[in-house]
Amino acid sequence: MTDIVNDKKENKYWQDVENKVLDPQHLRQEFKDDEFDSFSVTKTRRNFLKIMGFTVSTMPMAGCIKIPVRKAIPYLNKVENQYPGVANYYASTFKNTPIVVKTREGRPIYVKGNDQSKLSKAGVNAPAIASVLSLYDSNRLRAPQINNVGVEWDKFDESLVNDFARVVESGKDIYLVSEEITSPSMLALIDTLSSRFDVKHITYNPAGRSAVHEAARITHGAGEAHETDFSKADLIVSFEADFLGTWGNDVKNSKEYTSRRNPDEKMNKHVQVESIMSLTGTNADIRYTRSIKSQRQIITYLYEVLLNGSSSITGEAKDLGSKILKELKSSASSLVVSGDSLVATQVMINEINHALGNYGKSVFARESKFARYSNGLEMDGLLRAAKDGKLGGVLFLGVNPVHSFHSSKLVKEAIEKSELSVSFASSEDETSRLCKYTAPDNHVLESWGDSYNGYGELSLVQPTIQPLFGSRIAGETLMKLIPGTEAKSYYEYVQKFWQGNIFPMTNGSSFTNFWNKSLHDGVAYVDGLFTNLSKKNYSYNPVAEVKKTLSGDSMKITLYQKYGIRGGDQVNNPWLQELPDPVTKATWDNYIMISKAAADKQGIKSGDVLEVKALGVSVKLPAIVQPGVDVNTLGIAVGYGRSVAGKVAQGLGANVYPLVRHIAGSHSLHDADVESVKKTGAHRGLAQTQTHHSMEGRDIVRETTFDQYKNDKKSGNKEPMKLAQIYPGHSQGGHQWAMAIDMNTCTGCSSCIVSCSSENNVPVVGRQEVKNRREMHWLRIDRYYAGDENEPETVHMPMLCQHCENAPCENVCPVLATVHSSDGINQQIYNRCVGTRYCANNCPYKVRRFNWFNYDHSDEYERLALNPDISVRHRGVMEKCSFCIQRIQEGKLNAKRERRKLRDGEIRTACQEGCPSDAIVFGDMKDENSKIAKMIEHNRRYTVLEELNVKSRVSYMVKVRNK
Amino acid sequence: MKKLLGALAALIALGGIGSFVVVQARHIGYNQGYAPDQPVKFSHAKHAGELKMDCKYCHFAADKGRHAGIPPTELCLNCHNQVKTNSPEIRKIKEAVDSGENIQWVKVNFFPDYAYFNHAQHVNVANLQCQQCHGPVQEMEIYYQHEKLNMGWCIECHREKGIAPPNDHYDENYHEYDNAHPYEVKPRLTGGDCSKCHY
Repeated sequence: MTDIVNDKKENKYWQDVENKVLDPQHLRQEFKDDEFDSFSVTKTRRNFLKIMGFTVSTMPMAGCIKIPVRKAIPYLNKVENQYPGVANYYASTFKNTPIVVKTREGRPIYVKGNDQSKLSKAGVNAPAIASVLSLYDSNRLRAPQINNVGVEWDKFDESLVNDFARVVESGKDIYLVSEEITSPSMLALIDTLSSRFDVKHITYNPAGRSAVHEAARITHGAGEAHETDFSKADLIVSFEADFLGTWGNDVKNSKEYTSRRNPDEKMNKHVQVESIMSLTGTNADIRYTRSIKSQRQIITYLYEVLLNGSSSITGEAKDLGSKILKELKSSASSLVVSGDSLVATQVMINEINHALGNYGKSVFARESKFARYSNGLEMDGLLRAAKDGKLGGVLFLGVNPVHSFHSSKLVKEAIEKSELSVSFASSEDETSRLCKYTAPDNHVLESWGDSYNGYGELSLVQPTIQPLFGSRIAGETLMKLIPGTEAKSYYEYVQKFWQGNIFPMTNGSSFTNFWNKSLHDGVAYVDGLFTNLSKKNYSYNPVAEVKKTLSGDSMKITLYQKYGIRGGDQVNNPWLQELPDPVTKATWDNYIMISKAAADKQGIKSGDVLEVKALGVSVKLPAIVQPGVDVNTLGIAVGYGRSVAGKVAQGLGANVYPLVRHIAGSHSLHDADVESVKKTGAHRGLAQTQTHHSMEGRDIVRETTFDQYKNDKKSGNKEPMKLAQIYPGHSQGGHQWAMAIDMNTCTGCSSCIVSCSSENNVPVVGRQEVKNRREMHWLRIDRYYAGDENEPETVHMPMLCQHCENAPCENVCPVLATVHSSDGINQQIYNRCVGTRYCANNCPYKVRRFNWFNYDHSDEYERLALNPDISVRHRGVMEKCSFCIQRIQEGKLNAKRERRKLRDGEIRTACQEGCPSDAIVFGDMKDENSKIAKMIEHNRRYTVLEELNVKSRVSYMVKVRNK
Repeated sequence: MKKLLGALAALIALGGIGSFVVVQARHIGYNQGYAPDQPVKFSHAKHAGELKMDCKYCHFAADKGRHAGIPPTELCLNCHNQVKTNSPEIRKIKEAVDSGENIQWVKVNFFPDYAYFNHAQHVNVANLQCQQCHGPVQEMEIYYQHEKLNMGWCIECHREKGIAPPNDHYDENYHEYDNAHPYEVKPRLTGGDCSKCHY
């Protein structure tokens, strides 16, 4: 039996840093005592009888009701290529990620990656998938506004154009503040505005990579991000850069990174040095917890030794630095990246990569023809103009600096001082409230446009629905300001731009063909979109700049972005709010990440509300005691604390953008000195999904190291058990569906959860209900820590219905609402379920979710995002992963309609499509040539809780660490 | 004795009423024979019977997807731009197309949300006649629901009429399996798997 239940010495995993050793009391807390408290009816005998009596007396009445007259209204005119009940797919782009949008009867309901893209290779991330819900956000503005009062577009245009002309005439400065512009045609439009009316263009992304761009300007002379290729590096050293999460193009990075995580090939090695626990850090083979200050010392050490042969850095930083340097020098190829927002650090990183010979291999210095990246300091020009009284007008395109600029007071003053102020916010925000004009921009799924994704890839944005809320694409509003614009619409503008500027770069003969193909594929590859740059001479001294920041020993704050919420532009999206953070598993909040050591000093427990004072700002947020956080660092996510936002985000969390510090020529996210951290005495329990599911000492996660694996392909794994069975097994004919999850490529990013929610109409339950442990996600990612709590190792394990052949849930259902199908699926039949919850109780994997309420789908817009092929579950019904049975049925039907066999890989589950790292494989395991059949034969394959003999259909692949 | 007889009579009466209710209740909600008035007096007998028009001329999505679909109003005018343009019923259609205020047909066949049915599966793959489920539509002046369209009716057809998959390319492995297990109920063909329809 020692095999079955792990003995103590193998039990190295733990989940919750505050309760590493679980006491029996805590174990009992797995189920909540006050589970029924939110029901309004008090449990008295009298109330029971009342309800009983009402139910009995209304039953015959209900029986007599004739079905109501239902209307069936056809289309007036037939829509081309559209059939009722048949989905259409259109290629588009969401923030530099090519996507494919699924529409049903003309409404977008689901977003997946585009397999035509050579960069993202069908990958997609949570914000892109969730964008479909933001489209139907009923908080979006219904009309343009002048002084916050809705008007007609004609009137709006007239007034805006007059005001604009007046300010131009007055000779005062006009600024256009935008996010990074990666749309070639939008850039051309802005440049026209600049050249005709001297409008100054500022790109602004407060939580972005402006330091990287600025450093590129210094070392290579162009305002271009250094393009990286993680697949080309045997050794990746990342300082604070969350490249699998929020740093750069995470979809592309994840694809490249995980393509090198196959231990049967040449596996890469990943070293992460960071001050807080990031998604990328949880995936590192070797991870060091170091403060930003210490990181800067290490980077300085590497820089000085590589360039000068010796270094002034001593002590612990030198030790770790030399260790890393040794690894870097012995590795055939490498890549060093940093997420530090200090320009000087990034300059050093460029020099280090240069000295290691990485340029041209894993990192590329390029200037893009059609993109303008952000520069953290450019806002200063605008503020100076406002101060000097030279500011005449300001336009905010896709940015909300009143919320996101560290000194919102200065931005407010600038807006007040300018005669013309325009916001293009699609729903009211802090900036649009203060602006005279608000011209609501279309959602990306309603827009035409284009995008330069870097690396020579262009993609098009095409609308999949007419604007829902009387908004208008920002480009068209800008075109109104330029008299004599040839194009009638922004669509025409984009098309003309491609005809005049991009088509000539191809050697095609017909523009129509080129345009149609690009629109169909979503992407276009054209030579000459960038020029390669070489390093230039410069006088900037990064060591001196970095040293300015190294004085003092005070605690620092690391501002970071949460994987789902990012900088905060989709903060009003309930799917992203309810998405458990990949690291902390907290939903619906931002909070202060604090190390165990620092928390212990002041007796801080998770959920205690802390007051942090820094840079003269006071922030009150709950604490999370988080392993892997530097003792001298606090981590807080940006994007929260909105004072003007939709009903989802309003008042949630606190705004920490004021903690961005202006230092050494940078707007730093890492340099706010903490003046004090105090417990306020208040408590705000966090809606975490973490502590429900403890491993309880069982053999759930299996892992090994690359060295061991090379010698023994079965290392870390165990022989399959031979267990006796009393009942006859299920039939094994026809298709037999199965899934395999590679824990080596799963980064834990949680995109699959959003994808699943979108496909399967999984309801959002809200903060309180998550706290009550009633979240409805069919798929969760269990995250386990092992080893030292300061520098723990992490495992992510996606956990979903295992579709057991001997399913314990099936035996206990009194109404046969969960039964086995002939193709090996554990079926959950909602219309049969009476909600006894016996099945959930008997499920060893705890993957069944119960509808405690009728979750709200009454919003007339939000409900348009529902998948019409899936029923919306009622209160009192159990639900769980169905292996996307609707897609299996659809795939089989397509094959039958086309009179052919089903192809392997044709049916893809939603989680599989949502995964940017190809960790999930699904298919028919009876098909010998299928990928899944091969995965099941693989020596790394195992099933969880094998000892229960449930014969799970979901396999996991042993995690291999290259340490 | 009297009391006992009384009680017995009451019991029998109760049982009678009960069984009546049960028998009747089994038909509740099926609406077999439901033939509501339609806003336009369209005759399937005329079009599908007398004129022998193909069902799929109007219900063109039947072999493509889940819904057979009610034809777009404009489609009527393909013929009725020329034919019987003076009929008051045709004028309603013309008016609807011209004004954009569409005709609100009354839905006859009702299928609950928790069950999934796909027309293409039956019309295209299984090559069934529409009449199999919809009855003699070509004789219906007023269209009505011919069958019960309840679950038992679906299953009965799948189980008893021995529906075989028509697609040899696809079902090679099925045949192999069926030959090996002749005694088993073949839930794949009979629709015996719940989640063939309920998801």
